[in-house]
Amino acid sequence: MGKQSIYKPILAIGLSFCVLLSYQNCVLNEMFGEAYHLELPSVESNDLDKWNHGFKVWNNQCSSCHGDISSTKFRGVNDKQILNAIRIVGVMNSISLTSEELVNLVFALNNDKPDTSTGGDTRHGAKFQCSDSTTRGLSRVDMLRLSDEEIKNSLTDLFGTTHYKNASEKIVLLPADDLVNPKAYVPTLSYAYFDVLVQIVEKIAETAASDSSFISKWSSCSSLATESCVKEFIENFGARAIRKPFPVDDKNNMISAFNSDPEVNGKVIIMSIILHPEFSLHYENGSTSGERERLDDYGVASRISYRVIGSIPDNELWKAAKDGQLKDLEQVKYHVTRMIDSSRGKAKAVSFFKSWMKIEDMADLSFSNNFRNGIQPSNYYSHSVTEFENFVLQTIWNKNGSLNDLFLSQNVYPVHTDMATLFGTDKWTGSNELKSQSGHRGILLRPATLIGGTNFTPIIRRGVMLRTEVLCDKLGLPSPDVVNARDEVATPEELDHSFLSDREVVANMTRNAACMECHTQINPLGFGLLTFDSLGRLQATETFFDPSTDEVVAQYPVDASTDVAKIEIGANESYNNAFEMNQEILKSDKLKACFAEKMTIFMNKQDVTKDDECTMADKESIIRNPDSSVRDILIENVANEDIFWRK
Amino acid sequence: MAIHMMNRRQFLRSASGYLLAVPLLPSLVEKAYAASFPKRFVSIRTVYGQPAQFFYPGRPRTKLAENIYHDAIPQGTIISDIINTEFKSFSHKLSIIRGLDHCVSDHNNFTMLAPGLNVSKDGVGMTWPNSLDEVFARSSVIYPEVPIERILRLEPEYNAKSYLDFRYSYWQGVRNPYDDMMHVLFERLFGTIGQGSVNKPKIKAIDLAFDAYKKVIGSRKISSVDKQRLNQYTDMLSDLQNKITKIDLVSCSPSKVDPATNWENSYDAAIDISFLALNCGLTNVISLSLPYFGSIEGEGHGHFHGVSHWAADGSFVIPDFGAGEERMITDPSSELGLKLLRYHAWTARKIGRFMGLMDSVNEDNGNTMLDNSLVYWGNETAGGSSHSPYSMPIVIGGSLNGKIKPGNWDYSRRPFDYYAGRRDIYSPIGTIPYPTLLTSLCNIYGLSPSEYELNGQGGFGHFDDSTTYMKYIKDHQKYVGYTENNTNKRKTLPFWLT
Repeated sequence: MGKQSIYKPILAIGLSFCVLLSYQNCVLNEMFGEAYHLELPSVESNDLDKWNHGFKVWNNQCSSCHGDISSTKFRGVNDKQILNAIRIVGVMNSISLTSEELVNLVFALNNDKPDTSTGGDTRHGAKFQCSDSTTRGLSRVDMLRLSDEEIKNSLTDLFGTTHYKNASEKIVLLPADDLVNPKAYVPTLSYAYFDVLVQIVEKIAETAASDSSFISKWSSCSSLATESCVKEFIENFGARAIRKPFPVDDKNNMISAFNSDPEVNGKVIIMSIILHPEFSLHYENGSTSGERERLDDYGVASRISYRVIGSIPDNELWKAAKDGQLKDLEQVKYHVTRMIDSSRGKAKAVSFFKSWMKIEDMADLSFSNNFRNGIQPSNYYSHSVTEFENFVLQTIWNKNGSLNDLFLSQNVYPVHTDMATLFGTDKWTGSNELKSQSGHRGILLRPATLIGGTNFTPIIRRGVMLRTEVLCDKLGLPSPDVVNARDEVATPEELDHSFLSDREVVANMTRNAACMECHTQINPLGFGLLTFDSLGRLQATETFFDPSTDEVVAQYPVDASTDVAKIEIGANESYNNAFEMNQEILKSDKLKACFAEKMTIFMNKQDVTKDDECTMADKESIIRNPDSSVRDILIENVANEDIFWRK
Repeated sequence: MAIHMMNRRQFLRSASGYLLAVPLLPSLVEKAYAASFPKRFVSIRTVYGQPAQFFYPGRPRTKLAENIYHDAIPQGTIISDIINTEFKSFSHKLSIIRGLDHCVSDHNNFTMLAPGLNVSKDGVGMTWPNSLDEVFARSSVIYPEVPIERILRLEPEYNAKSYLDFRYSYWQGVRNPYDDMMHVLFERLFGTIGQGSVNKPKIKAIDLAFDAYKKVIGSRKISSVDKQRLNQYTDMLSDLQNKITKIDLVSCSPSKVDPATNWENSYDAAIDISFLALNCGLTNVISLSLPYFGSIEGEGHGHFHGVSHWAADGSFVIPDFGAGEERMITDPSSELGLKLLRYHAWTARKIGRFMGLMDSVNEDNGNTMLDNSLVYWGNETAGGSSHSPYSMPIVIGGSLNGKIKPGNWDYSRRPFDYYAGRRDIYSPIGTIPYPTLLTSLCNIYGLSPSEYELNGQGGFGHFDDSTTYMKYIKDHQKYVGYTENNTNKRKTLPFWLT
């Protein structure tokens, strides 16, 4: 029986597993049609492997709505029931199971985890396993383009800041990429991009072409007046711009145009190099090896450089590529380690953590005056982001911190008065060590991560963020029917903050059974963060202000506890506040796997695929090692066997 | 922004003045004259409903056919509370249609020009994956020659903030990008423009890059996906070179657009750029999304959304809808009523200004640019409060050089639930599936069915009654079998076409 082919046509009809459960009683039992009952292949593997595999399928496809496999009401279902439910029920089109996945899912739903006699730890363990190393490098099926940030860095490094700044008016026109949401990155170039790139490079080339020091940096000439000078310039500057030896045909074409057409001068040559497709695209050369290509040293150098500093290779890396010194991981690791400590390397790492924590520009902050209680709204958010950036930089590079430090450190780095006030500390001078007096710690419990847009604590947004971004559980979007169902349940009185706390309002708003299929996963995590208000301040009491007069209407004691946390099997189900929840998240296997997954997504600018399993297994392994520093982890993210391969 | 305006004749004169020195002058000028007026299509989408009471002066009295009524709009008329003074000088060039029923699966969707069902704004679940503006942008009828810009899509914002987006242009189920920073768009459109020899380095450099792209495309190591993309990139380079070459000839000399500081100047810039792009011959298709309201300090998008739901006691016209008792503003002079009006009027003024600019330019055939074009203003929600997709008010400016009969309003049909005056906030059920209007537009622009029909379905767009919002239509068996009947789907709007 073919692995994918049998179930795809059937399963593609289906909708979301979420709804499977909400309709189970009324639909599932009536839908045991034989047409969708197929003979399953026998799977040769031991029970623990089968259980683990089925558990993994459950976690990926089902758990976000249906909770832990050990306690779901769907324990005991068979393959027929699952297939029929997928066929019938609403939101399941994304689910596609292989026969092996289905067999093992049923196995895990019908059996307890086999006793491994290792004693103690009942958690699942590592999520990723490298079962086939020949899939390394296959996940990206198309060419990426350079991001706007990479374009800017590359032009700066190629031309120097003086010439680059000549085009500053044009550079701001480059279409900006949203790297906070790397899955949404569009890998293609656009008409607008070309339009602006032409304008930028024209501005830069205007001064660069007549700058003898610039020309002499890339050739033995002081101007591009002769064929030999142009040739040498293309071979040096052009090669660095496209990160590989400049194609001979293209070089000859340019020289020919230079010789035959008086209007093709040095400026046009510079412009045409930057407009060359291999400047704008990540296009590495390699040699075929089975399904894949093994990159040459120039390709490896380009990947190292863009993945670590987001720009063209520096001189040392370029020389290594020319000398053929990028053939093994040790050689790669040397350069990654060296470059990750540069300012650009650090900035790129900070970008990743901001992306992971979904820290992006907030359009509107609408806190009322009395709620702010003296905190000035202007720049408050950017101040919190600056503090977040300082925390990441200091924890990783000054403290050589571990994952524990990244989540638990109480050190704070406020350079603005509002942040210092919030933490109850002095301002950070760059040398003084400060610890939050208000409970803030780690990247989760920081103002930049916690902030909302209004007086109301963003319980659901925070809960979704923790569930999907920090634990990498999957949540579907609510369908209009579910949203309507919510409206039908909650009366205005049940959503009135005059009488009810934020927690009570959210509980009422989501209490409908259809909502709770997913909100059982969201709300407990959001409730945990109620320890901090919408500005990221520690709060013991929640205050509701009249929207018209801004006067205090009601106050409620904060309840950030839960006994249904659903973080993962083996984790505590109960916590009393954000600090305890933070500890549970840190201890979880899911966090470590999610960290590996998020790094991979950020680097590849696309969602992970099955072909990323090996690289994620490598990363997860080093993340799980308590002796690893975060810097070690970041180095592993790039200095990884996958760097040598492409499809 | 000061605008250097010229009519088509001036445009051609200035072009030919420059072209005297250029070998290809005769052919270009000949082509330009042959297309005595470009077939332009401007669409404008506003949000949160088209409350009928703001669009129509009342209840039409002139019987057009059995159960069909309308009334004329004389020149110089103030038509309604929002179709007001800005529209007065060209009021007779407007068509204000009603009675079109949209088919939607939820409110706040993005199917104004791609009628059918949708699941999300990103096109998931769309039953009609191509929007009309994108179809027009690819049509040889709209563009007999390769255009400089096939389509401009604008959704003006300001201050580089991330606002909600309401972009409605789709091609093959993928939503296309919009420009939001108007000063950036302006630079992109006009920043490349130089005069005479200034452009030559760009053209030469693109020539060389073009060769390099072709070589990469020829590589055996490139995947088919990448080859397809690289081919698109070469098309883009070609279009860019085309623009640089042609714009130079046009002598189009707009002044600079500064970054917007509020919605007022952001929207004004969008309208100026759109008009300029049409007038300079940069494009024939414009899609303008105007989702934000508010020139008044302290009032903005969020307030408007609230106001669109504000209501007093009343009743909903659709029985068994399941939404319970709906409410509406019964007193138009109340604070809520005036606020709702203020928001709609603000946007309407902008649209009126745009049409007014288009009506100020005389073209080669003696008509104004507005006469020779169609400007389409609508959305998918008729009643903001009720989220009703029924009986959509649509405003269309111009006539595409007489292809339609403007100067009329309504065409509503009785005896369907028709509520005059303020009760129109709850729109009655119409009589015509909305896709009929877009099919009519395809016809009057002269597109062949092969350019817009899909998968063997006749006409443009999809309509069915499978969703919650269609319950009334389904229960009353209106439009039964419409989607399956190609003859019905290919029908055009009666009474309106010449």
